Amino acid sequence: MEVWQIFLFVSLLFAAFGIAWALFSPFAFIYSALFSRRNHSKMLDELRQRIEVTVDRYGRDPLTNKKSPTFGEDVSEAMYVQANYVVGPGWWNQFIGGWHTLIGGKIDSYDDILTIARQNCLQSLREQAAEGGYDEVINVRLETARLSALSNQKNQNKFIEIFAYGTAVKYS
Amino acid sequence: MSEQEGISMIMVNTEEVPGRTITKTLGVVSGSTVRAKHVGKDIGAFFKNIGGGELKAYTELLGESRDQAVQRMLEEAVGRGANAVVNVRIATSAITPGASEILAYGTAVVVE
Repeated sequence: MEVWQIFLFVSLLFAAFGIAWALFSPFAFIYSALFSRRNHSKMLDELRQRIEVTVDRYGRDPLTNKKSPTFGEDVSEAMYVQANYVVGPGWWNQFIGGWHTLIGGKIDSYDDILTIARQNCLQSLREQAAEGGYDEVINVRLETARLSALSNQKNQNKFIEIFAYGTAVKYS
Repeated sequence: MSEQEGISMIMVNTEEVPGRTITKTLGVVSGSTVRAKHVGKDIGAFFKNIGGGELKAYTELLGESRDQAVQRMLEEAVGRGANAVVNVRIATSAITPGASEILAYGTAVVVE
């Protein structure tokens, strides 16, 4: 009596999850298809405004990937700065990306999400430099890594991490 | 972010410390860490990924891991009697589902 009740309960629970998933996933996909593109371009616009504000404050872009300081050798202080950003591409992008492996061509929507991540990292470096009163960030490097989530083989490596680091310097 | 709670010393990712002279090099030092987030955060990230966008839980996780890897590298440098680490590089790899390894390495030096 006891054992089959537990068995029944567990199987009902699994069935409930299955039904909930079957109802939920199409809606989630439609939501992703309709709104993800728009959300991403909105994020991109906000980011561009933030970048403009910082660049205006400096009068130039403080980031460079040159190895040595641009304005002479008189440096009073140097500090390591870093920033990272993890993005999920979204279901719609993953779907479109999957199709494009068949027909080829460029994938604009993936471009957007990667631009958001990269520019966010770089902007974070600019802001850290501005906060500490540094004049320039030299030797900026960007790195991309793929994160694997806890999931099956098919969905692995869908999250993308962007990491930027550099050396902030202060001229004396 | 080089002013962690633990050790704070000169650390740059250029070949030389700008404005200072290196008097002695003490070899390559490195530090690494492997971390994972608990399942709840993974599920949260899964739902966030429907629309796409930043996954804050993972951003935080990796930021903390980097700080820790750097901290371990600095500890090794202090052990060798260095007062600066130059040419710092950081590498990331996903070693197993749900966890990633961060490696920080650089050259321990003595500067004036």
